[in-house]
Amino acid sequence: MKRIFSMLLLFVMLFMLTGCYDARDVNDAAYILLIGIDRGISDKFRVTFKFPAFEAGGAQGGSGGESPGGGLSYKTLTIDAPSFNAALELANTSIPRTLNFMHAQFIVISEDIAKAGLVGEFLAPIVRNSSIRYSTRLLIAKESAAEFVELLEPFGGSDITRMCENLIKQAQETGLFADLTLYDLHDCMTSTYHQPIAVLAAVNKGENFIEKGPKWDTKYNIPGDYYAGDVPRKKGSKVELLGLAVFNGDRMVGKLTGHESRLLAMAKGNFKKGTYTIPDPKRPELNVDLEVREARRPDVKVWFEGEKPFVKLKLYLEGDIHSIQSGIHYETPEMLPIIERAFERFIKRELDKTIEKTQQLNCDVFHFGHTAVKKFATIQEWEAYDWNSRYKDAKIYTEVDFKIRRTGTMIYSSKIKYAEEDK
Amino acid sequence: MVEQGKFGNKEAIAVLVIACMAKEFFTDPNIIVRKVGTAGWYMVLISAAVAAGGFTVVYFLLKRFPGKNIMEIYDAVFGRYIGFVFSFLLAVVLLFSAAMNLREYVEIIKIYVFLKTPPVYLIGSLIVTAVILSFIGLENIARYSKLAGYVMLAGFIILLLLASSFFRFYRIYPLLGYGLKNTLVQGFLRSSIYGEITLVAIFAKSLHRIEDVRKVGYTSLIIAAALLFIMQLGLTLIFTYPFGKELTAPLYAVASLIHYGAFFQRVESLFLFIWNISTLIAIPLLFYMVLLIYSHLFKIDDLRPIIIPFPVILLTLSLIPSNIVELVQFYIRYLREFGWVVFYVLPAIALAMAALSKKKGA
Repeated sequence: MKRIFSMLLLFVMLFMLTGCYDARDVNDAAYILLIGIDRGISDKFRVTFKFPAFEAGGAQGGSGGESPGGGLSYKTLTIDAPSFNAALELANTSIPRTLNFMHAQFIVISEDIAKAGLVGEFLAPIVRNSSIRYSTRLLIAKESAAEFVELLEPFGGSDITRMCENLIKQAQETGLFADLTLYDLHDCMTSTYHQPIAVLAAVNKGENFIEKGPKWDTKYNIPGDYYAGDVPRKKGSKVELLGLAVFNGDRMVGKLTGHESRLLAMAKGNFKKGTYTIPDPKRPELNVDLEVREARRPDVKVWFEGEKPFVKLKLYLEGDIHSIQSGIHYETPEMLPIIERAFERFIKRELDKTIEKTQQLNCDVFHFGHTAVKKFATIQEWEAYDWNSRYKDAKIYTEVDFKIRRTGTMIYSSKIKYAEEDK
Repeated sequence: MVEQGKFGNKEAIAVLVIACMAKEFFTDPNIIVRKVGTAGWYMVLISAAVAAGGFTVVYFLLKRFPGKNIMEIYDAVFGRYIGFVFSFLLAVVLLFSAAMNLREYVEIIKIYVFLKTPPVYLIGSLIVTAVILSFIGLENIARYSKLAGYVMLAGFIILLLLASSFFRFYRIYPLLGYGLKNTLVQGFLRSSIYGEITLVAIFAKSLHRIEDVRKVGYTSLIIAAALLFIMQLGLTLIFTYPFGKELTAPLYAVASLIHYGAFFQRVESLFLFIWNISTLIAIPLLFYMVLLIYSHLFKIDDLRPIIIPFPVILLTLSLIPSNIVELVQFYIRYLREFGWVVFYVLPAIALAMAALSKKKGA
């Protein structure tokens, strides 16, 4: 009897171990890597999906997975639909594979949708979809999300997945944008502590790259002070990530340039490193290059006088000299503070401007609310105060502390010698 | 005569801690955030303090009647009929807990993992496991719990360590959540999250001495409280309270957030292991406890004849909630908020009655 029962049990278990209901065959799925969302024309939303091509894609594996160019080849599909889920269903009527979002890298939303306050409406079904991970990155495209998705192609021999991962890694290398995911945006949209931001993305058509014209004189441009798509460049990747979109709830209300994004990262303690070019304090027509990093986390103090909030922010930065165009010998204990004070003044001035900009938008993207909340005992008191609405009234004092640690491979600047007639 | 077998303290501690923790991996953290906001991490400690009081009562009752389990003590204190009602109430609550935990597990796993699998198939698989484990007995369940316990503990700690990059300490503010009074009340009401610790009173005879009951009970409670505290604190530091209120299974969401570059991500499988194994221990344990109580109530010497019909009742009960909202906001809510009556108040009444009537065991 025992033997029969055991055999019966084993037989039943065989069927239970097959996973037949939820079995997902790789050959039956189309792995979506990029999702683009625009305002539709035939319907409310225009949704674009990008996935490896079936005929030569990685999904099929083997030697057929590579295109003649050496990398994988990709296809896009654009559909007008009333919602994300509807687009998904409609896509499945034309693609003989089930769309799968397990490997989705970027969700790209057009600025148009973000400004219309439709982000929350569109994200609602996405965050309920268990196959789309919270770690998926979210971008705001300057113009068309469909175009961005279409033109985001592997650069330098990588595939799209690696391209996306490496592109996002540049947030830490430069600080000119941030590494933000669906989790960050969804968390911030409902947060009582601060307001959301998202990475700005755009197709760079090279329109700002002027081929011919008068040569640059001694004017000074702050590095990275552009929005995505505006960098004066030619060739390279067709797309770029630069700057941040500022939201009030789920409505995009403003933008920060790459330079402003870097200041924001400094104030939030997220700044890893970045290169700054500032005017030489003694010869402003020439520049000094500094590699700057965070020395320690910024110090934020918040206090209240009546209902009015006051904030004191102190940044601690350190860096190395990368170049001194003037050749002035700054590498002495007396001269180094000259560059340090000049950089402190520069950062404070720019930081104050950026804070003022966000106060005009009434969006606490600097996360001062994280410190302010410590003054409140209960959620009821905190919500009644409504920090997000009071941010514009805050009086904010800033201070910057900068120390030069190293001077690169040169510890002394010798004067360049000219022949008499060339002086 | 029903023979449960003997096992050591470590096995008993493992099985009780897993039974307590298994249900906390699902919607409970969400309910806790909705009730107390940012104060959930210390609310579980308040609940543990209340549960410690409740367990102390159970221990004194078992000490007063050495060598007896809780059902025999109820009979000894109240007589056959009232004792029957007390034991029956305990069996009903345990069976209902098993059914609701089973349904909750199936609902969550259907949302996150097995989207297309019919619920009955998932419920059926678990019930088959419960039946098999009931046949092999409590001793084996306990021994397997010890074996799995270490791996699960390691997995749980690794999961939280990996997720620690998402910790932001501002999220525990405002420290008092929705108010201290509310946290204290909720902490008291939800003390039944540790109710499974009192199961030691049902299988007391499987332990070697009465001192072991004390050791097992308090140690299990301390470990479960520490793990729950760590889990709830971790969740509070990862999700702001408005976000935490939205998530169906916050711990699974944490696992899906973990992302360290292209080569280290999608570690949900680690969490799935903890999730499945703990459920596969907790539900059969509750099921087995019900069988033990039932066999005592109706003086059935052999459990085997009732192992087959009881799964039908378990299956039927688990299918009662019409949807996940009803399951979470009605059935599980009331089980958690009023379970303490059966776990702690009934033994307290029995202890008071025994003291007044000067009844004692041999």
